[in-house]
Amino acid sequence: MNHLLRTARNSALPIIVLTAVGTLIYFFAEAYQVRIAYAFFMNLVVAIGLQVFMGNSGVVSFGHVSFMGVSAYVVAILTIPLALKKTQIPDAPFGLGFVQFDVVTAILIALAVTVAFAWVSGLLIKRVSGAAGEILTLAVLVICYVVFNAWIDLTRGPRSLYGIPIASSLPWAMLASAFVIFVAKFFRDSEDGLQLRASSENMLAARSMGVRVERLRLKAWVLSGFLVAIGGVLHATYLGTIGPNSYYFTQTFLIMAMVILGGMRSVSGVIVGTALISVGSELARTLENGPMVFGTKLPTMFGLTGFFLGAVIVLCMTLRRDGIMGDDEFEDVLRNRRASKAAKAAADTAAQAV
Amino acid sequence: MLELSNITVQYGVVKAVRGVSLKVEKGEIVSLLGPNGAGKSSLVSAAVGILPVAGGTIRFEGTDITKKPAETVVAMGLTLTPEGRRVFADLSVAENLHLGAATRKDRDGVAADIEKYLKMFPILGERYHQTAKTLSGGEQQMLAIARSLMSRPKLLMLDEPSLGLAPRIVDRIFELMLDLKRDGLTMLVVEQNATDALGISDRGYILASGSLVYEGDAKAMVDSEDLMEAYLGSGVH
Repeated sequence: MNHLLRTARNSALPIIVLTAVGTLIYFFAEAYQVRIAYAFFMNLVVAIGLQVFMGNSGVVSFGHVSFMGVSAYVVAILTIPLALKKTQIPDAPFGLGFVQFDVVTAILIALAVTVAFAWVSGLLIKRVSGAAGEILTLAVLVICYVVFNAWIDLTRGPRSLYGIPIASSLPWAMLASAFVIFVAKFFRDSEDGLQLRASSENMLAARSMGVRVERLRLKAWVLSGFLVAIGGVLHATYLGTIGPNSYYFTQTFLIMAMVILGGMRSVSGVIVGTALISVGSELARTLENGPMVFGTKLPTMFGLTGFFLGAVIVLCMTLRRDGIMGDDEFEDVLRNRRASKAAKAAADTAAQAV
Repeated sequence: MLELSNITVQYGVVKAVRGVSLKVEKGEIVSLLGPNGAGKSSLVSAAVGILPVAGGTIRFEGTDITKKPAETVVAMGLTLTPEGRRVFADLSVAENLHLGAATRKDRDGVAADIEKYLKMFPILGERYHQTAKTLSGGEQQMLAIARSLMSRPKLLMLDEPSLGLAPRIVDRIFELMLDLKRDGLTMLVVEQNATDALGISDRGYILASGSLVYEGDAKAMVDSEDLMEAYLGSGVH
């Protein structure tokens, strides 16, 4: 069967379920719940984007949130109205203080710039294996954060940029996540994806088969950078204001927890992980403020959300390193269940025959 | 067909292989013997381009491939079945076989070859969609060999194909290699199991501490008890 069709069939289930839930929330839930749903879909885009690199290459990346930041900043700088720009970044370099693009053009430029940045950083990342490579991705995160903070003429430094036209809404985030799910599954099951997964399981064996590990790593790195950049666009065009702290450790660990809990080697796993972490952090946030439960006032517990994410990562790493889904996608789970049911039925018939 | 001249392989300052020269002619099976740590695996890994060569030249069918990356070498027809049944345990038998054809672009040819090897190894057909880790040791080795054959090698280098297998399975693997020879495949076999390997070989080389210590006719080597005892530990294993 055609690879495109098979991917469409295999990604249909999660996309339909997520779209149904999202649509219900969009039409029937309260405004703050719509905002939570939006954050869920946006984080899903980023988490799956990260999975494309991490899950296939087996190299952990702490750097991907930077791609989110780069694309968000480009969108912001290109779309903020000139009058507002004059008060925020009057000395913007490259004449950027005097240009304003429509949102669509700005988004396309932001994605292109991020892809270019991913490609350049990928040329370094692809060469390095193991812990060294992972530290390199961490360096990417720190470098971007420093640039967002220090290039004040361009980014307004630690103070937020505001006035980005609010062009996005929940349906856009749902559409983006459907696209990202499809692309991630398409890549995972492609020949490139298979070869990259093989190299993550056994580098020497893969290379002795002529698998071009470095080239594939670069490909996955750039593709995942592109997908994460979509998450950055969703962020900037929904909030209308961005600052450097949104693209640093807090966001990195949130996404990391989602990917690790669900199982980084499976796209379905990341969907499960994102859903669980999103619900979990909302609960933790509610508990943080000391809500009333059955007439008892609970104490306020600041920092509970961060504690929750840390606990999830620690527990997952000690108890279930492969995450909830391990290597399996939803379709694998369904197939295995059908197979074991069929086997059981066959065994029953055989037993009756005897 | 394959000509290694004066090859040196180095890990940092440690020389694993010191100036080794050997030749494999078309249609031969050649054994590369020696104790653990003699540098046999390093030598064949360097030949296929997954380890850098510190000195010397490698020629395959007259072309200098010393600095060529593995994907080029494999595409030219020189393939290594790595040591210890390096199948991809978490991937299915089908995926493992497809990976063997990583350097090929002819989809129809790949599909035809898979058919062919499933006929040659029926057990792989039965386990086609199962993960490779569910196979027995012998089956995994069959898979590893079939996977290497998927790259359509002219010369196949097998690194310790008998490692950790029951004697009955080892016999089958060596019989298979004779079948492959009859079909025109040239092979270089790295082994510690000297007697069995020499039994199917035309010629043999003995490596010790990174240097070549003996080369000669396989039959003469098996018959020379002194030689077997001196370098290969009593000749049994």
